[in-house]
Amino acid sequence: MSKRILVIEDQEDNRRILRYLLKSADYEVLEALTGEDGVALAERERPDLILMDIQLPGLDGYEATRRIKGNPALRHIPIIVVTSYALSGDDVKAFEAGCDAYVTKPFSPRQLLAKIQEHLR
Amino acid sequence: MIRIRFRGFSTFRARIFWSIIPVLVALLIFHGMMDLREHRRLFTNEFMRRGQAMAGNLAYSGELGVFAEDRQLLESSMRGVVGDPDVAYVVVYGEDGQVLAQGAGQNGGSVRSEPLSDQERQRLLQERRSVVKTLQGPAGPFVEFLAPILTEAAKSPDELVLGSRGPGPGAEKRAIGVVRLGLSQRGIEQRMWGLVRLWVGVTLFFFTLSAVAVYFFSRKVTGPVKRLTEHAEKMGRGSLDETVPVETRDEIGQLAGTLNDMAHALKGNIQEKERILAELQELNRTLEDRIRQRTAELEDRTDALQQSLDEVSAMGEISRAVSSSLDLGEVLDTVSAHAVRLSASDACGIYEVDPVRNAFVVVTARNLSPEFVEAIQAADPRQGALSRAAETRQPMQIADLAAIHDFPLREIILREGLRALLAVPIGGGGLVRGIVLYRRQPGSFAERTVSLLTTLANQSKVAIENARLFQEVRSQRVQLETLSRNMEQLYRLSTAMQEPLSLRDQLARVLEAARQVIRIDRFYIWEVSPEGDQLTALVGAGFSEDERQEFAGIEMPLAEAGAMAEAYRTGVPVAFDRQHPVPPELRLRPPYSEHRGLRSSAFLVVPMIARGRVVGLLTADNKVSREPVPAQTVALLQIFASHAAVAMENARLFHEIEDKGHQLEIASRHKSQFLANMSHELRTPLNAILGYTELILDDIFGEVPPQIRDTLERTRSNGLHLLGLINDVLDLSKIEAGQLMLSLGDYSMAEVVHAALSSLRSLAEEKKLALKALVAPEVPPGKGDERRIIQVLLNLIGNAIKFTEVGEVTVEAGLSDGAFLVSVSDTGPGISQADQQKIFEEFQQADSSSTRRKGGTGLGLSISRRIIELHGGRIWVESSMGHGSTFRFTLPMRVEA
Repeated sequence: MSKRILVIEDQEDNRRILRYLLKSADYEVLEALTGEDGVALAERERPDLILMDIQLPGLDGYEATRRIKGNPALRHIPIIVVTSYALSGDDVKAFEAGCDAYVTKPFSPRQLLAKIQEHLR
Repeated sequence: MIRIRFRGFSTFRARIFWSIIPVLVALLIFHGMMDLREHRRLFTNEFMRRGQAMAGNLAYSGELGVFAEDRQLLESSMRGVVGDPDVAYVVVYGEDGQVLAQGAGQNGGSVRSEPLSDQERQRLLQERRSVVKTLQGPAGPFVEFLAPILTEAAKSPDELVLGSRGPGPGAEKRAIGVVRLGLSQRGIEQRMWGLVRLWVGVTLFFFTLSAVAVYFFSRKVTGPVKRLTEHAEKMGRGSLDETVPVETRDEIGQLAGTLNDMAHALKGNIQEKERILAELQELNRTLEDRIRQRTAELEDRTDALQQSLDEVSAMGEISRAVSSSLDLGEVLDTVSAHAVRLSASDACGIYEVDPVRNAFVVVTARNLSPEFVEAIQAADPRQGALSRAAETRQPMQIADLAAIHDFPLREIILREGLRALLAVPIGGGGLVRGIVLYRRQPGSFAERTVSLLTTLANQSKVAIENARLFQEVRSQRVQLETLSRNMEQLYRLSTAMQEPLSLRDQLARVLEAARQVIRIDRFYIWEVSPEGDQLTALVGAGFSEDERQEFAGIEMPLAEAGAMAEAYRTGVPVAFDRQHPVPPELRLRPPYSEHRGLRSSAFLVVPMIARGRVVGLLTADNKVSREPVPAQTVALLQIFASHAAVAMENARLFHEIEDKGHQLEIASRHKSQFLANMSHELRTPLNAILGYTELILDDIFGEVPPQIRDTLERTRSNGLHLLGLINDVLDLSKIEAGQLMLSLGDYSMAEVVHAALSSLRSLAEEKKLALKALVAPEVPPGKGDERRIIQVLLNLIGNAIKFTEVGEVTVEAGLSDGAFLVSVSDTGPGISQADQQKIFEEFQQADSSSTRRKGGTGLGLSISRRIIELHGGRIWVESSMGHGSTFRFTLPMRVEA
């Protein structure tokens, strides 16, 4: 059974690219467009891994990460923050919020896949 | 009275007396002895004759009795003999030597009844001569007479009785018996003793008589001598008036005469001497008087000289104290010390009367208790002796405070144990000031003391004024320095602290300090509006609470401000006082003239000029004392005003800058936000483009024909370049905003080099360039921002690959001087010396044409330099045209936040 990856991303293009990429690697992709939806979907579906965008409408990526990591049932799910927020200190904030890895856009699809595989092991 | 004093032979009389008396005594004794001896001889002769006669008589008378051997007859003839007092015994012997009769004398004579010895009888009878012999009987010596009893050849007793009497011549006589008669010599002795007694009596009588005679004689002889002596003694004692009576013509009389002459001569002599003595005494007295007078004069002069000396030395010491130090305290101390000494006082105070507060100011107190000083300072000075003295400009004294009752400060002074006082005013400056001297003992201060103290006060005046002036100048200088420091502090505060009230507070403090130094009653600083049409009351000092409230925040149009407007207009200080009143056109106009606090007859307005503009006005007035503001104070206040003006202007400028800075900061924040947003907005579509391109190139949608792949590769490459540009701009904007922060963490230099190389290996391979890395094996782990260091290496290696057509690119990493030393060398064209200076600046490339050829923003080296510098390292290039380039940077191994 293929692993299920939750992509929380408001940008359609990014979702599509990730969807293509992940499906090509035989992952099941769950998608959420907002932080609230993402947290709710994570609670409901319990994915194996979450790819989290930071700049989201409403609940942002940091807060969503914090909520998921604050839930003991979901704490074990690896969260990889994927962001174009490349200002200094962003990565620190992301790690403080509880993410497991940090990837800046533009990402190399192959590098991202390698990172996903690393955290699913 | 005759008094015989035995004085040995000391007196002439005694000598006469004692030289005559022994001779007299000897004479008397000799005469007596001779006389007695003669008498004794006479007595003895008589005694013998009497004895012989008696014995003869008895022998005669006894002739018959013996013849008859009639005892009775014998005894009767013996009777007459026995009755004689001298007869001791009578014995009549017969021819045969037998005792015929005997009788004893009256005076105890014992009868020698022994028979006559034959020898004696024979001799007596035959020789018929009487025998006398001296015997020693029991009752003393006695003489024994033996006489033969003779008869003239009578043959019978009748013959005898009838016969012829007496032996005729040639008649034969014969001894018929012997009479033995003992006569006691005691009678002779007794008579001798009687004679002796008589003699002694006569001698004594004569002796006494002669002694008296001698005494009187000697007296008579020595009397005139004694009188002479006494007279001479009197003369010796100086009594020459009595003359000695010349009684005789003898030597004594001559002596007396001579003595009288001598006395007379002496008297004359003595009178002469006395006269001379009197003269001498007179002279002496005169001399003594003169000497006394001269001594008194000298003493007076010495006193005067001493006082003058004291005065001179006091003045000298004061002068010295003044010249040696301009210390007011020292000068006052010297003055008070001398005042006490010169006036022999117990305590001294130098006081001033503060006319504004109407209170004593104790400038110096000597031997006065703190309680006294406090009491004096609390007292009303108008009631003090000093004020009275200052009014009359004459010293004033109170000889005994206890005796007067109308002196208000009496109790305070008496409580201190002081009774007398002398107040000496020290004139000048319209100030009530003076020395007050106190004594514990009541009594007036001498005229001399008062005048001395007056001189001292006059001398002190100059000294005190000088010292005060000096002190004032010095303290003003000190205060000015303090003010300047305050100003500096003010300036720093106003620039460093974003505290709008600090300037006002600080100015108020400085003004208060200035007021106390410069002796100005009140200060005020008015701020002139930038437009120069409005005055705003800023801060003041020396104001009552009411005035302060009245002043607070007053604003007035400059046109209405009278003298202040004049000072603003002309830019020079204006001053007014009672002598120079404010002209009508410069007076305040209503409603401002109705402010009581603003009105003053003596005031000064100093324009506060900074950067050629009057930024404010400093007003100073003596509203209370009404004293004109002295010229030197005006100068001081101008300096002060210029300082304050600079501070105010600085504060204003600072606030302006601060405002602008604040705005800039906001703008900058907006810019950063904009850039962040912008980069996000730019990168989101770019990410999508690059993402899709990569998906296609990764054959996710199936096999890509080579031509399309090539195009897609170019699309991707340009997209990445665009992304790099966007990132560079973003980085630079962050650097400029000071927002580029390092994320410090541990890293391995080898991994950093490796990461950079692996990113760029494909690029080097494309250009057939060798890419080498030499990392020293011993490099320790570093601490820094790993991502940024990789970014620098990417930039340097990327550039090297970009500009090198043939050859190799070498990366070396090692240690140098305790820091990492990393170099990136290429075999490219090299960089000219001029360009080496510019390439680290923004938007510069060695050759501007190369930018278009090689791409890039020209920001990479600039950003790299900033990153290295943020780490505390240094970056530079070594290159020469045609020989490639080597970029090197140092990096501290451990960078701490």
